[in-house]
Amino acid sequence: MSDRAINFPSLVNNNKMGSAIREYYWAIASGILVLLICVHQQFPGISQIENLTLLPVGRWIDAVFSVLLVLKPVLQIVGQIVSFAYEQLALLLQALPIPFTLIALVSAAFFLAGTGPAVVVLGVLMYCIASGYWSQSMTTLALAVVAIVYSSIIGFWVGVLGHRRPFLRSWIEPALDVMQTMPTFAYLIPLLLFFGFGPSVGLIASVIFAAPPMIRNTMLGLRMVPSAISEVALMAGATPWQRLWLAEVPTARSQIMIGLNQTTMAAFSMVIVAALIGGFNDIGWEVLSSIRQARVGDSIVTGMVIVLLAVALDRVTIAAISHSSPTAKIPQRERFLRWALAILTVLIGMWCLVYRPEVSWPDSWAISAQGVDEWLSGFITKYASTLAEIKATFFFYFLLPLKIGVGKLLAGSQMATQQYYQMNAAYLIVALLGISVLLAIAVSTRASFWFMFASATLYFGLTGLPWFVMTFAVSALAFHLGGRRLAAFAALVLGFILLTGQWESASISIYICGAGVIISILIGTPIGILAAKSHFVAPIVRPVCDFFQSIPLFVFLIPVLMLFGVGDFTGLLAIVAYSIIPIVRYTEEGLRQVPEVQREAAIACGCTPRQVFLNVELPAAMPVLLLGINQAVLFSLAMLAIASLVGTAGLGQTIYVALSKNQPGIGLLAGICMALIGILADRILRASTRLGTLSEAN
Amino acid sequence: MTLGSRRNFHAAALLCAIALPEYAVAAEMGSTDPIKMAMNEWTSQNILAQVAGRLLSKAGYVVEYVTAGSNTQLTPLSAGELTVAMEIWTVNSGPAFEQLVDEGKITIVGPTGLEGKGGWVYPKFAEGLCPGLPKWEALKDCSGVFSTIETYPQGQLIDFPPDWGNTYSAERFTAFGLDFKSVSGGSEGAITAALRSSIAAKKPVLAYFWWPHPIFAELELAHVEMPAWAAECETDPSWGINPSATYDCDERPNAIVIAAWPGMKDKWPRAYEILEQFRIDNDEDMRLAHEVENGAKLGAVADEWMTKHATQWRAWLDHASK
Repeated sequence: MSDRAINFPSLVNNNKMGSAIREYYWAIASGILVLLICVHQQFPGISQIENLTLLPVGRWIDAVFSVLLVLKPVLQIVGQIVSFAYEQLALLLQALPIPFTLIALVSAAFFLAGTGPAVVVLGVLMYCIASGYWSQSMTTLALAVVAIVYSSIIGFWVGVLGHRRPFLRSWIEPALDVMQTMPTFAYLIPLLLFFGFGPSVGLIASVIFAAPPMIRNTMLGLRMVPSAISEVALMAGATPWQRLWLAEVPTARSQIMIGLNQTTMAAFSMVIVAALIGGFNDIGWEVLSSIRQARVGDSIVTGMVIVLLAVALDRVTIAAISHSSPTAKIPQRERFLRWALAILTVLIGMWCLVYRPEVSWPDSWAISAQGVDEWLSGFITKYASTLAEIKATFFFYFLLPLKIGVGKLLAGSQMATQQYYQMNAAYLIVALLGISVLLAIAVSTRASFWFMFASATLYFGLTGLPWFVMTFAVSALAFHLGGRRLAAFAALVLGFILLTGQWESASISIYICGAGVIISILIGTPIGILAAKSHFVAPIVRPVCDFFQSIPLFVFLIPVLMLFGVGDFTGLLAIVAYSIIPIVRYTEEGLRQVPEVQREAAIACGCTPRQVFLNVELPAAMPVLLLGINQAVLFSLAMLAIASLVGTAGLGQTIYVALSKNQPGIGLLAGICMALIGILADRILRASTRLGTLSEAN
Repeated sequence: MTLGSRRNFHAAALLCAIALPEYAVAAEMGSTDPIKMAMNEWTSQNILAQVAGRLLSKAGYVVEYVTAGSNTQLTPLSAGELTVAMEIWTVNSGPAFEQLVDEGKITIVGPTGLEGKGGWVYPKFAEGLCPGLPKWEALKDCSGVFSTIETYPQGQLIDFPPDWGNTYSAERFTAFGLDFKSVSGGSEGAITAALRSSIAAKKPVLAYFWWPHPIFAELELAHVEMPAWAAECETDPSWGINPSATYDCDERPNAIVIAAWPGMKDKWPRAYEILEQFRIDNDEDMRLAHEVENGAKLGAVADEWMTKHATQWRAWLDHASK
């Protein structure tokens, strides 16, 4: 993050520039919006999706697949080669005596990363033993390590290629977006179809998901290498290979290592998905089993194994990077200590291999969290009515209006007869139009446009908003922020979703993810601000964020469901629990990055603390904050696929249904739609940061 | 395609004719390659798989247990990458299973002996709030009791997730004239959690569930009684209490079968015959599943079954080796 340059915001608002054009633009947009809504009211048939000719894209994909199946024998051989390393490593880790593995891994951590990480590794491995899932943990470790090795090697070279050949980069970047935004479930069945059943599918899925951060960071790191360094290497007569290896890569090293770190985390988050296919008998499978039986305690115990393994590898890689930097010199005494430890490890290891001591951890000592389930039932018994009230309030005043709209709510109430409702609706529309006109005169036509769109959304609900109104509003926003190209992209994305018959599921997805992101912003931003301002809050918030980010998402679902029952509200809370993390993290990060000079200058000008915060810190941190929202949108889409396991409808559910009907095409199509929504949201938010910094720089 | 496969078939038949006399003794046993036994995501299936695996080991086969999702196992099963899947619930396996069986890509070996059924269940205490249960007629006046804010004023039924196939609950509500709405439960864990939380909060729920299932040993649940199932009920509207609607009857009994890769019969003939003999009943299966879910080790429970039923399975092995 430290590489991000933050523009000095000017304290004077310079928005007047070009405002004439903008005023004009929004007035026209408002006019079209009113016209479209009138069209919908007058001819409701037009907005009916059933009246459109839909493209059977799902079936086309299936047809392409059935042709491509010719490649299956070749791909299966590829799959066997890919899974060979994993199978050998898993066999090895299973076969070695536990004390040997323990000593070998701990001393490896010590040599690579130092004392602290070695202690962490020891603790994590002890937890694996104590949880009673040692052998499953080792399978998971083997899977993750092999996936990380493949992802980082492939990622590095694709990154180098993308850096060297700019025309390739323009293909790589959108591909990475799709790889990171498409729910992994969507491509499991196609992978299964082509690679056959076995560990290769889980591994390949992990690599698809975990390689992009490595690619991105390698490209970014190489791009940021000062041209002077490359030129010096060139003048010194370095071959392109030497230039890359001796000059550019060492300079870009820290950025590449950030990529490696993110790849590690991503690979661990795929453990559960790999378990969904099966073929591993790993800890992910145990997590799934406990969740299936709704045993919350067990799912936390097993889920923690994944969290802790991820933390251990994370700490070791981070420390290894700083430890092994070329400038660091090992002191004489430590060198002696290292030798002693190495010899000791080898000796103990050999003793273990020869005598094979049986380590048995008594079952009665095993870590258990049965108490969690009992506590949860007790809590429900005690607070059932309070929980029901919380849910009802949220549901009626927030979710329902957003989903089906105030209009339907009024019509649905027992007292309102059809006529009464129509009269009411007419008054409401007149009133809203009046407010819009007032806003246009008093504030700006832009405010008036968004007010109109917001009231239309609330009136029709996100799932009832006619497709052309939605498409127009999003495209208008995209045009304002990013110009013609972004507007065309927005229209294309929404058009694709519409014509492939996914509009209905997509609108439910947008509703639930939108609601989730809004709540995340409302709750997450204050927490992030607190963490940035207070030295007491930050150390508490960070490990909590780490925990929530690396624990398998499934683990949240059951406890939330037991508190609030099956349905949208539970899905929403699960989404919030996950998408709030980037909001908190980026808010904290953004505020911490504000240069001290700016803050001091503002204080010197006589600003009150509140003014410093609102007029200096917040605008300066805005780009980073928006990046956090961007991440939150992606996180919420990722969680949506999983929330369908508690009965949340939408594109996630479409993927599962396609899975059972053996229609890989429809599943993939729904996945593509989710990826497109994610990418569109990303582009719009990015455009708004650019606009923000631009208008500030002017 | 057809021509090619027919030619292959002739070639295979010819090969068999040449090969058979030489291997007449060994053909009974078949290949020594490991038989890949699918371990699905529920306890009862795991018990069946472990017991069946032990049977095949006793007969001299090498058995490999492979974890596999119940949806994702179908493709590998039809490709021979998995050999056997115990306990397939035919009604809820989705259209994909039926299609693969029809196309001859998956073979049904035989029944497991389990008698499965799905239907509406509720926690026992709900009978106090809705007098007349377990008769279905009681639900006519009880939609308010089972109503939630999502379905108000209708009652809510937590139904199977749509990827498990249609339970026809919505059709039954129409046929019986019940003011209920079916809502996707999402997953087994979700429905189980909803039932547990309902008992903890003393707030009644109606859920679609299946049995045998160990939850009936843990929670006090009861089934809604409906008119007995008949094949005509699903096709002929005039059948049953509602003369103008189908599905005015109970759920169709769910055949629970053993499925295998079609090549198994030729590759491991004796193993196939042993599995044809295999039977276990609901009570026994549920007793074992409950033990496992209360912390007993899966392998130990399967071993226990083997020692207790030695005469039974020896008879199966003898029958298969004849």
